Amino acid sequence: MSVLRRTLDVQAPLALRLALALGLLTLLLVLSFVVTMAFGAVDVPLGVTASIVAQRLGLPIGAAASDVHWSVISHVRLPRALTAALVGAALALAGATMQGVFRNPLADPGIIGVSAGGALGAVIAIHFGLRSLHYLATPALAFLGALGAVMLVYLLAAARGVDPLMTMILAGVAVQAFIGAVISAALTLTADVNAMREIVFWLTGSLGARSWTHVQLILPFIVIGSLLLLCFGRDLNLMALGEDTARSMGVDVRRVRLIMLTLAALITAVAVAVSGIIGFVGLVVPHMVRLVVGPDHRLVLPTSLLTGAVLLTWADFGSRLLLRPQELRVGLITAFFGAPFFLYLLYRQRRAGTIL
Amino acid sequence: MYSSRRTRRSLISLLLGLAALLAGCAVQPAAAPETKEAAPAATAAAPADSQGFPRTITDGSGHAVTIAHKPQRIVSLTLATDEILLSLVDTTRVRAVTYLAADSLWTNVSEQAKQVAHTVQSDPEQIIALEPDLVLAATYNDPAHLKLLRDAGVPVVVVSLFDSVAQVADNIRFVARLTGDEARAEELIAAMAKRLARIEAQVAKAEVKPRVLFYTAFGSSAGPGSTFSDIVRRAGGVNLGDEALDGPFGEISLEKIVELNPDVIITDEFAPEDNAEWRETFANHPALANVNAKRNGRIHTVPARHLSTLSHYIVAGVYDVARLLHPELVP
Amino acid sequence: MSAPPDTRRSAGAALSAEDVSYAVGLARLLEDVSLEVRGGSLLGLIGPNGAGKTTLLKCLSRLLAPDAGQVRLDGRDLSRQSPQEIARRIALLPQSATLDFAFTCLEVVLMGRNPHLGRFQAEGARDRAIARQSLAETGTEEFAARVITELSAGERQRVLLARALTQQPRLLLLDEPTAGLDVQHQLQVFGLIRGLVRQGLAAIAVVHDLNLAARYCDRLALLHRGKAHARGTVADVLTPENLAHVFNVEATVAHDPALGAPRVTVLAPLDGGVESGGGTPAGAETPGGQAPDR
Repeated sequence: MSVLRRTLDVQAPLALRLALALGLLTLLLVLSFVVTMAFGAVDVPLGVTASIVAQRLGLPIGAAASDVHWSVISHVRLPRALTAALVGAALALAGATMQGVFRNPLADPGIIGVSAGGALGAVIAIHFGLRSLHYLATPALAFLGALGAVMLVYLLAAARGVDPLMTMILAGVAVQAFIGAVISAALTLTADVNAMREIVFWLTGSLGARSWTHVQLILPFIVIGSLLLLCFGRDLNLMALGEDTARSMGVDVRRVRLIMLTLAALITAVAVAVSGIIGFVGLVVPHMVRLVVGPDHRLVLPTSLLTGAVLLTWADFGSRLLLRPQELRVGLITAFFGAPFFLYLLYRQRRAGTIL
Repeated sequence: MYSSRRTRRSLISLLLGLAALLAGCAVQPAAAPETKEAAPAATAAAPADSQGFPRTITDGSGHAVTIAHKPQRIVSLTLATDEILLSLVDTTRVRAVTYLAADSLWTNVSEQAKQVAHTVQSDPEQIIALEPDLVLAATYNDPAHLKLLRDAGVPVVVVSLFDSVAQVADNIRFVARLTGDEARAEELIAAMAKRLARIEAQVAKAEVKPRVLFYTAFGSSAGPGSTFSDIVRRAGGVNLGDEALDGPFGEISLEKIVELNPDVIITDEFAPEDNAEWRETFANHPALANVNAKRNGRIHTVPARHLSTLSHYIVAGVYDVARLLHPELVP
Repeated sequence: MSAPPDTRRSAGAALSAEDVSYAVGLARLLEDVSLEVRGGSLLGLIGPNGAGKTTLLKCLSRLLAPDAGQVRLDGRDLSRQSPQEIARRIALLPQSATLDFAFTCLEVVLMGRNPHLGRFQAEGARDRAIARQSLAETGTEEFAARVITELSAGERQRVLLARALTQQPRLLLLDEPTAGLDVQHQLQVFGLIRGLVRQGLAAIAVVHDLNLAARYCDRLALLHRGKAHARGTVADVLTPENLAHVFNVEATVAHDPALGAPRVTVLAPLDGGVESGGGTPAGAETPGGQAPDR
């Protein structure tokens, strides 16, 4: 909201602002990647880290690394960092999308029940011991649960919809409350302390022990889903002027809304499936981004995506290192920093009277 | 309950914060029974048998693992394998044991464990950095962690842990096949069998089998399929949890205890500092006034490392319980 | 970069609606309404709450598809055109645009270029010039870099009008463009609209205030319960009989020489009048209370 932003808005063409923002953020992401990956149980020199990452991603540059360094970076930290970046990107983009579609600053990726559904799926996998059958059992059930919950919310909203958006939010609240009750019931009824711990842990999110398989599973969904979502920035701008105005300018509001919600739900479901519930990224990142680039969704969507990736990369770094050798849940870190920041934003917004 | 040690470890983690809060509580005068007899000689040097490697073994999770040579850098991720390993091989061949292994509350090999260079939880990076040539895990270790280790080329063997005394021998043999210490394993197994036979012969003379209930601070007990159940049977008693519960562990209400009317109650000793007060309160609960165990002063505690172990040290648990049930028969 | 971009507005188009009907369930919101407007002319839609004014405006802009009847723009049936195509020629200024994001006025006005841009096309120099011109025409250039939510209601409405103009429409549809504005801003906004019409644009406005309608519109259509009760010149439509029938009020209509237009004076509501629940007199209610219409 600075003078800088206003000047930029008026003077600089969109393409220039976009290139500038994305360039800086990409650089930041790459740096964050290498720096956060260098530290851990074994500290690897930055240069070695960078060359292992480059080689692992197919660029034959840099020096040869020791077996231990190679194994740690290439098999443990790189897939984990990639998962963190992808999940952060997906959550932040989905959050920005939801806030735009619902025109509600409190909207987050879970607003239509995705996270709650994912949690239910994971709880089922843990409670019935499917988790030990295969390491992908929990993600698979979480994904199905997330999609199931969204479909339920859609059906509820479509069944009676004077104002489909409001109905959808209310249906989302109801579905979340119901699933919350089921999870509480599972927690109280289970005598297996282990299962209980697993459930509580899943609900606070973690990126620990994510392998290349996890990356391969989520990469196509998140990349394709995100690219498609990025096509709808201008539609979201127009929709901010109200449904009638947007339609009078040629936007098929209902269709765009359905597509965007579906894509946002999909990438959130995928993210939740591999990470558990990581709060506040989807809620706060779009607000942070708007502070700098302004409200234009053509900028907000892609910059949210990259900022989310950077932020979760660092949050996961903190989760690995803050309480070594114990691992702090990454969801706790995002909540710990996200909640106060969000309060600050609310305070600001009360004065400004708008979503930033 | 005792079918899984992992449960116990989880309890610890869950109560870690609580423990800090309760740090001012009374310290339990840990009435450790005599255990010398129970512990087999631990660190006899393993025979230098490097024959038969490389070996390919199908582990408890169905993975075929090839061990190229006699392992010299072994990492153990479970308390059971800590105990087996430290009794089977020289400590110099063990790279890391679990972080609880050096705690005498939990293991019967805490002294040997202190000589091992590293302790691990389950952080894959840390394990990879130790460059192990064999990692022993259990079915309850996070499969995602194990997958990462396998992806990084670390030979991971999942040991299927067990719920009866008889299977202990199978596990010792399994671990020995991985480490190439079969001769030592047979010695351990023979010693264990001999001690078990003696205890069982002693309790066989008993006319009545006391009815025993295990009870924890969480209000849970051990049922059918738990190691506790097997221990009680071998010690000449009847585990009431077998009839009161459907599975290895579950909750039992105070009312149910009154109804079951056990002759002996064995309470939980997972962290003496933490639950001494609880045990005191429980033993003096007015509801238990007419329960046989209370009337006859037979509410006891057995060291956790003896009851919860899944290695050959389980014999110590059988011995402890047998002495409590039949003090006149078991010296 | 040298030659100034072409920002000329095309001439007004002729819109004609024939027997337009629209129903929601059993409620027949519009029944066989016909009307027409051509370039350089402002048609006012008047009538009590629930008469169907906003519904009619939405049917004319294809936000709603009529159940029966046809809407033609320059003789071409709107139902055969894509929303984008329509948006290049018809701009709509809905009654209350709520704004939740802190867009600057220039950003909002530039959004009017959407119908003219491809999906991945950003606004170019010509689009910016058109937006600038719209801001100039509505006297809002000074607000270009300000956040729209910080403006007063009157300023905001002018900026939103600039946004509609940036669509370079040939027909402008306005739903109570002065609702919620004070007298000064009401006159300012209608003066602007009048000026645009004088330049050749065609416009249809829902007008709540009968005297504003009388003063600024060329022709009027009086809606009553979904039907066009009267159509024609201001003098033809604003008669005491029509007002009594439709608004259920006793009113006089006199020529006001100072305005050069008829002036309506509402004397009293008619008790047990022509029809119950007809409506309230103009100016006797808060603007924006058009719920049944929407």
